[in-house]
Order: sequence, then structure tokens, then C-alpha cells
Amino acid sequence: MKRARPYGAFFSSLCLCPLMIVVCLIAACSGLPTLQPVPVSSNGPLSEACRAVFPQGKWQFTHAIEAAYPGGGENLLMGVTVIDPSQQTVDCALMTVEGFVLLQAHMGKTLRVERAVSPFDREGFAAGMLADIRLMFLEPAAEHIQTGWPGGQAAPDDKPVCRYIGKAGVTTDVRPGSGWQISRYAPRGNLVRTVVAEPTGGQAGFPGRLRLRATGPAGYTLEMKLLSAERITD
Amino acid sequence: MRQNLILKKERRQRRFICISGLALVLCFCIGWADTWDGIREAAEQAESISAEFVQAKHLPILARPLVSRGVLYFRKPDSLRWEYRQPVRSIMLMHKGALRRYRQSGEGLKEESGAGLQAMQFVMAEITDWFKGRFDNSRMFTARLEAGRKIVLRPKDPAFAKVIQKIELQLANQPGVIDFVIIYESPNSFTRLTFEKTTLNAEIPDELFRRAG
Repeated sequence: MKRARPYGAFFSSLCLCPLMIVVCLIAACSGLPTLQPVPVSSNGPLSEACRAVFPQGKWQFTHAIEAAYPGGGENLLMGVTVIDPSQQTVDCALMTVEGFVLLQAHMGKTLRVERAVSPFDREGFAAGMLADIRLMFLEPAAEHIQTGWPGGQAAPDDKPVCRYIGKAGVTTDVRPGSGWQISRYAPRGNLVRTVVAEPTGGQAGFPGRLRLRATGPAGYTLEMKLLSAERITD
Repeated sequence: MRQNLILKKERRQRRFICISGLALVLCFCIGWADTWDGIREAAEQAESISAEFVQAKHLPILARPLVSRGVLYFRKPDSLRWEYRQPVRSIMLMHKGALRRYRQSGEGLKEESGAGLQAMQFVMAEITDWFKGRFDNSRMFTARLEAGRKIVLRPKDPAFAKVIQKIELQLANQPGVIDFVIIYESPNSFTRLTFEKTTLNAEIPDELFRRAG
């Protein structure tokens, strides 16, 4: 029986090294911070600011993606993503600079892999990639949204976050602003993903660079440079 | 009697002129790209090729094709520089059997490594064969020459056909020159490479194949 290999495991499988152990230890220490409540009066604009981090309407993004794995392996790929928040759908294609499509998938209510070339056809890879895309571009589905300063005690330069608490206990903190940040925590409270936006070089109000860091034994980093952002009108 | 001889001579002359004329017309009608031999002969005249290219990627999910631009340099026997300049800079160098790949990063041009590079070696070798006019002895594709200077390559291996359905090459009027290439991954997912400002037999320094920068 073919063993399931998650998306992250693929990235890391190329170069396993002792650094991974260090990454695991760091990840284990990054627990879910407690929130110090934000005054009720500022809740409304903060929620709006958090929502503004995510694209409104249907958009097509093209990114140059630099993937880095533990141990020093790196690759440059091109990613095309079409987001439709109203339908909660994501279409994506991962390709080489030469235009060769390695993976093409659609995520609506279910995942549909339209093309996957080895080794991108490994079980779990497409689902993992689309989960990362959803994290970056779609407002998290949440049963409950809290707002507050993370860490219990607000430092002068701290900015408040919106905390989206999902059904399965997955928590997502969104810190709005031009250099916004998204942090996702597993049900046990350990940090599993961080996305940081850099506004420089942005287009149509979207950040010029996104840096996604997956922590854990199958850690990897994706540096995404925005090449184009196009609003799609049906 | 003498008149008959003159008439016969005139008829022979007319026949000779007709046959010569027909042969001449046929010579003009058979283009450089109508036979594999013609294509190979034309390619033999080109010691080097340089061109700009525009790559347009078409996918059903794309509202507009994804366009990349770059330049290529080829020099016999097997030196090739395939350089993307927009929207990201990426350079592949093949020289004396070695393939290297570089990409633009924040710290300048960075050399890449990994399994993907090995796969690219096959692709680059295939492209150099095209520039040498060797379409019909590919290890990976069967080639068919069609009317209108068109070559259609289809994968020999059925498993590979799931990845690339076919490749169409449109040869130019000018002998030894390719106008455009369309690589079909599926009927609605394809990449079109259009070559522009193609120059044959220009002096291309070694440096271009050895150094990315």
C-alpha cells in the first residue's frame, strides 16, 4: 500500500538533516499565545482590517515561488492561483519557469486534482498545497472570532490580532496592516504555519512578497513574489 | 527531308525547354522544409543561432495567458543558453555536456541543483537537436513532417504521452529558422514559444555559455 506523504514531507524529503530536530524543538516552544482583550469600541474596525487582509472578489494571482527545504535545497517555480471567496473555491497551477505544469488542482467542497506529475502526484501533496493557499488568500472559516493583543501583556509596538477559532480546534491569528501576518496553530496549540506579507512591490493593494513558513518535522519555507494580480469579472 | 529534320530538332529543343522549365518550377516548389534531408541540409548551414522568444502559457484557469520573455543562443555542436528575462530571470546553460541553471534571487544570480536539473538535461538536448535539424532521430518522439513546413512530434512512450501530448514546430520561410513551437500538455493546456529576431551564424562568445551573469 502506498504510504501517504504529506505536502510538507515532500518538500523536506529531499534533504533530511539534523536541523529538522532543532526546527521541531522551536516549533514545540511556539504555543498559542493568550489574548488580552481589545476595548469593545475598537473591535469593529479591527475585524474589518483583518478581513481586508484577504482578497475581496474573484482574483487571479501569479507568483514566482522560491521553495527552500531544510538542508539547503531550493527551487524556483511559478504559481497561478484563482480565488473566489464568494464560492469558497481555489484553482491553482504550479509550474516550472518553462511553463510545464507540475500540478493543477481545484478546491471547492472537495479537492479535484486535474494534473499531477511525479513527484507532485504524491498523496496529500495537492491537499497540503491548497490548504496553504487557502490560509494565505481566504478568510478562515470560524465559529468564533476574538480580538486582542497576543502574549497576555501588550507591548508598546504590539498590534492586536483577530483570532479565528475553527471547528476542529484549529486557531488562526490574523494581524492586519500593510505588513500583515497570519499564524496558524494546531488543536494542541503548537504553531504550524506563519505567513508574513511584505508590502514592497505590491500590486492592486496586495503585498509584493509573501513568506510562508511551515514548522514541524516536515518544515519548509515558501517565498512568493507577486508577479501579477488581476481582478476577474465573470 | 531536310525540313523534317529541322522540325524534329525544333520539337526536341521545345521538349528540352519544357522539361528544364518544369524541373526549375519543381525546384522552386520544393521548399527547404519539405523533406528531412532539406531540413538537415539547411540546419548544417547554421553554425550558430540567436533569437528572442516570447513564451505564452495557456491554461483553462487563466483569464489571460502567462507571458514570459527571453533570449536564446545556440552554437554547434551542443552549446545552448536559454535565458528568461521577464517576469523572472532564470538561465539555463548547456556547454560541453554540462547543464547548469541559475535564477535571480535577492542576492543576485543563484545556481540551482536537484533532480529537476537532470530532467532538463533531456529537454535541452532535444532542443539542440531541433536546431541541428535532427527531428527524425529523437529518442523521445516520433516526428512527422506535414505540409506547410510543420513538424509534429509525438511521444514514443505512452506514459510520457500523459505528460506531453504533442509538440508542433512551425518552420519559417528562411531556411534553418523555427517560427514558433507549441507544446501541448492537453488540448486546452499548452505553451506557445514564438521566436523573433532570429540571427544565423553570428559570432557568439564562449562566455555566454559558460557564465550566467
